[in-house]
Amino acid sequence: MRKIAVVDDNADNRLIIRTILEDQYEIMEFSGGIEAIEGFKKTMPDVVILDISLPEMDGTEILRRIRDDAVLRDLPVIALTAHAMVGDREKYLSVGFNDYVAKPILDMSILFSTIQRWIPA
Amino acid sequence: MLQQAIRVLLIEDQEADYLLTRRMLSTVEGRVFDLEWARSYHAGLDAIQRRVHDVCLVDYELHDGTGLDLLKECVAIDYQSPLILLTGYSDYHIDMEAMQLGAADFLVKDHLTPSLLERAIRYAIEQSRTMHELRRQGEELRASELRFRSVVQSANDAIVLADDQGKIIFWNHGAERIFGYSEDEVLNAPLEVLMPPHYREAHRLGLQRLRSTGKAKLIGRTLEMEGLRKDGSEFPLELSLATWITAEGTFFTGILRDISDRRRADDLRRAKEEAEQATRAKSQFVAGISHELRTPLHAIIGFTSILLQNKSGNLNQRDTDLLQRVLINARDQLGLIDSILDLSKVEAGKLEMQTAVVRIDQIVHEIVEQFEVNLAGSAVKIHARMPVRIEPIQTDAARLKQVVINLVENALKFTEQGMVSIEVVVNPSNSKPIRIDVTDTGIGIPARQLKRIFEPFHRLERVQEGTPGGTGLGLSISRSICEMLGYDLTVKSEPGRGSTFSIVVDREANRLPIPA
Repeated sequence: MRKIAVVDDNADNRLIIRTILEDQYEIMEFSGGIEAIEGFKKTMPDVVILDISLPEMDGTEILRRIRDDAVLRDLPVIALTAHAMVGDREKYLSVGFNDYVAKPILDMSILFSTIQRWIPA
Repeated sequence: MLQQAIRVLLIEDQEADYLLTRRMLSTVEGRVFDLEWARSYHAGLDAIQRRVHDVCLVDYELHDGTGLDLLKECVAIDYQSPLILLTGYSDYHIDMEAMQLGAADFLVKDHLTPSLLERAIRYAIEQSRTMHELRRQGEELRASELRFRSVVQSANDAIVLADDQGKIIFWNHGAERIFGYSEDEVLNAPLEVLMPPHYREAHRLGLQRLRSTGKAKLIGRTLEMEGLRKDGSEFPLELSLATWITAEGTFFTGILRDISDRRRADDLRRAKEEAEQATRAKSQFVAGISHELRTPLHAIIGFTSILLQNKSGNLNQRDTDLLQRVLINARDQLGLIDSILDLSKVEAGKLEMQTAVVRIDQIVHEIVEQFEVNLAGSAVKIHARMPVRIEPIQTDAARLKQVVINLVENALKFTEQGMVSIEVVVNPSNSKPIRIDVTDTGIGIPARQLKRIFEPFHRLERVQEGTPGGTGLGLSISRSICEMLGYDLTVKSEPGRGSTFSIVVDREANRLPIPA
């Protein structure tokens, strides 16, 4: 089973994504950036879903560390953000995220199709 | 050292007296006299007119006039050189009259000696010079005084002079205008009448200190205090004080400026800054709280969506209907929070613009496609009307799209059936976009509401009246975004027929009539 890492400080948000995806993917949950990066080094996920508004280290900074890391740099990272303003997608893609999903997840098929773009079946 | 010759005019009709005078002058040591002799009153008058003599000696009794007449002539023509009258005898009355007419001296011929004559001439010249100098200084003083008065009187500021007892001794027009007292009313009055009571004690002490020590705290400084007008009102003023000392004592000059306007402007600016600060603080608060409000909604929406999938098959139709209601309400609330967040960003000026070359037709197609999916099966249709060719423009595509979407959503809210159309109007000569119209066939807007329609929360009133809902923020946000993009957002409406909202991209071109 392919592994999806979910990095979000809110347990409910992690549970929602787990519930949606757990039939098809193995879910790794992390509540913060530092433990996530350590966890990735032990077990490499296939895709990372990364919340942007995290209390200690925000998603953009975590992404930068992933891209700077020789082992992790090619990981597909999907931004998960509540800043659902028009134009946000372009903004996050331009800083190096592979893809973008807006919170709340109103259409589950969008989450699936976004993940599938980065994990060829 | 050779002294310059003293030019002497002698008006004398007796040759013997002339010769005598010449001999006397020639015996004076150390001085050279250049003597001109006029033999009659009239010859003398002619000679005087040339005004080349340092001094003039005049015999009192000439056959064709008297020395006194000549003196009067000299006064009449404002003759500058001194005149010494010579007589054969001493006469007190003639002497007095001559002196009154400005004669420098009055000499009796029989008593004359060379040294007496020389001294009389020297004194007369010296005295005349002194007089002229005094007169010149007096004139300069008068000119200076006039200059001073004209400067002081034309000043806008109040200029007040006082003596060391604090009595007002000068009061200019500016002071009259600012304080309301005329010069007559305040001359010799104490300065205290110009200040509110709580300054008076300090003022008296200051004057005392100045008189006893010659020192004053406020001299040479500019300070702000309050003044008291004649009508009893107080006003803020700026005061600069200087002192000057003459033989008559110490005096003050106070220059006072009414700064009510400046204070008012300062107060206004401060109030504006405070208001802006409050708006920023409010916006930050709203942004912060919006995030907190969204987070639980995300969970509600997420979990409800998952339940609605009914994976275990335990839910009946009624259960899923109710869950659907939960989901719709949660999403509506999310939309409301998003709008508030947008508005606070717009108000805080935090909405960043990213401009690029943008194709409007592409944006419109995307929007129409998006809404067509949502409107499938509804009684409302959406469509676009665009010319074949539209010049791309420099703008922020995302923001422009947001505004058009807002307008379409708004139009759909008030249109139960019919059509919502997006029309791009271009300048036929160069295909440059002039405006984007979003037109509906909905209920329209009454004229009295049109003015207020762009105000935040305007629609909330109508929600309570049971008309279609919404945050009432969409149009306000849309207008703000249009302003940031340099566009106008206008509306035309006819109740019962529908409304047209126009994003005016090119204000200039929009004013001109469009050829059909």
